[in-house]
Amino acid sequence: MKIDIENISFDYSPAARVLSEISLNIEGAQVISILGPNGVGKSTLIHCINKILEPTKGVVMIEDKDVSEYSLKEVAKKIGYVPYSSSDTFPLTVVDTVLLGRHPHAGWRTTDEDLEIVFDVLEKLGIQDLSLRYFNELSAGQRQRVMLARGLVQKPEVIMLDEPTSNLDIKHQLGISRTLKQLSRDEGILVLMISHDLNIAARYSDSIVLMHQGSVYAVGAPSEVLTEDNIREVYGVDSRIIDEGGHPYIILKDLENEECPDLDNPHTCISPVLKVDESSGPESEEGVTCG
Amino acid sequence: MEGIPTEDRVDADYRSYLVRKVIFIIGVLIGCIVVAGISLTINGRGIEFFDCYEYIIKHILGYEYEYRTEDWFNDYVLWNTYMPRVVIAIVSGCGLAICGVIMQSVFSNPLADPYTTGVSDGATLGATMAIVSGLTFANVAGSLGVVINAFIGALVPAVIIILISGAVRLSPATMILIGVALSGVFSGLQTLVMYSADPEELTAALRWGIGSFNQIQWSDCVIPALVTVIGSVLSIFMYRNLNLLTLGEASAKSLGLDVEQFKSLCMVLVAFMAAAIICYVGIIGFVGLISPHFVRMILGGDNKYVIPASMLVGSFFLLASDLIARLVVFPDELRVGLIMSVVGAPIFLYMIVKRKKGYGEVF
Repeated sequence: MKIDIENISFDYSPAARVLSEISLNIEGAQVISILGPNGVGKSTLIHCINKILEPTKGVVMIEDKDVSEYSLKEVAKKIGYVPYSSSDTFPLTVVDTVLLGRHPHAGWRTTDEDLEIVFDVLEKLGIQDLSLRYFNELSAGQRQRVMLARGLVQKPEVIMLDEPTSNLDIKHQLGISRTLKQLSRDEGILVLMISHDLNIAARYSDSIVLMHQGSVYAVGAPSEVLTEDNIREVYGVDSRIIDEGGHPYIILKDLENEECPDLDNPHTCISPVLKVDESSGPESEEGVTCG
Repeated sequence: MEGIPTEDRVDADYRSYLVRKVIFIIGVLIGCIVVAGISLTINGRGIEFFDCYEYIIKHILGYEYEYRTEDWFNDYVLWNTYMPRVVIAIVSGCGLAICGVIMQSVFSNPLADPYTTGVSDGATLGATMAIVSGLTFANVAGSLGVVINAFIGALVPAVIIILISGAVRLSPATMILIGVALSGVFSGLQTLVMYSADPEELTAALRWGIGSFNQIQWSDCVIPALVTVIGSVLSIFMYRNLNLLTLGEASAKSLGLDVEQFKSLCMVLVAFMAAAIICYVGIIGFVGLISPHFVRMILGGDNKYVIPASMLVGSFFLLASDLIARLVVFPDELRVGLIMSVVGAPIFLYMIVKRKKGYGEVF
């Protein structure tokens, strides 16, 4: 799968520009994290890729074809999207929620093949026992898996996730991240995720896109992008980077070697070092380049 | 279940969960048949429950009786006096319930229906203008002119709400407040139109205020039935799109649904169905609101089942309300709209308080 973002800008009004002339070339099965402060345009960028929003300038090319020439259903067959959260005003059961992911492929009736695909994915993600539970009865971690399952039954070549690890405890953060890594490695899916957790991104990503003020500030392997200078420039936070099993590990400077300033919330001072057995790293020569 | 692989067990559970839904739908259908039958027995000729159905079924099959025999009279009275009333109750119940399901899904709002969003009042204003002043937007005379006027009247609040919801993210409560404001405007305009009416026209126009099935004839059933059948078929085919909308707009779009286009289509459909029904029976509140809620509490949110089940539950509510309207002050009659409000509003309140499965959480 090849996505070329050529010089796109997006604004809701001329005075409020969200994205400013972004160019990116993404190729191959890998995990790419999009990082950057709140409001920098990360969600807008991925919405421009799968046609939820239309860039005010520039084009997004999927497999060398302008995305505006694809129908929404054609895009949905290629790109799965896992939103930050999903509405539960009228909750469906898990199986019905995930079945909606078959919409781009399905006709009017739900076929046995659709059901088989759904149950396969539910099993793979270890949530088949939740099949008949209602979506609004699930925990945040379970909901995240259900939304991921919905994206996967689209049988996409790319899956885009908006902060998949937010609201999750550390175990579930690692679980989801590991699942995404496996998906890209075993099934050749390009995973594009927005993240706020620099260490998760550093550990599990093959490439990182760091955004700053509506533009791409840096692109490349985690160790190239997540530098003390870049973090200071983009987030305005001092940090210290150490090498942890070949991955950069970021310690925020004002928390390092200090007594915990907030005794009511001591956990804010603890930054867990991730220990993951699997070896990771880019499996192919393909990667991300900033055009 | 021991020894059965998990996958098969889950699959079997899923299928039995679908069967339970179908059983519920069949149960409500039987309820409708029973209530309609009881309604038919209040016929002034002492025809019993099963005999009523025998006459109706024979009539449908084309059976003819000897002129002016007792059977002929029974058949004539049942078919021409009481059957249209049952049919319009079923048609209105189905139509208004579908309007409720569609509007609630389109706006992700459990409180939306034609009554609460001002669509009903818009339709009433359009119809009143046609009746009182003979002023039709489309320049078509007769009852079709009234329907078209009501449709255009219903479309106005529908379009306003679509435009506002496109610009601002509306909470369920805010949308209802907009509905109240729009209803106020339409009621005011309607009063203004009525000022110029003579007493006869005024009576005709006032008929719309509280819905009623009194004096409904077969000729009154044609347009509502036709529009409701078309609307039902379309909405049943659109069930998956309606399900997609409940995921939120970005998710629906990412799964291939052209959200803006689909919403517009839905609102045109709702305006047309609501207008076609309101023109003939007047405003009946709550049925479009309560029926889908009731169904979702029992069957969950999948519109594949919510749509047909709500149609039946809506029909059941209106058949039962009409039956009550006919019994309370027998041999006189009350208006079905009145009964639906008196019975429906407390049920709705109860549903909000009960909040099963997070339901009725409106703010």
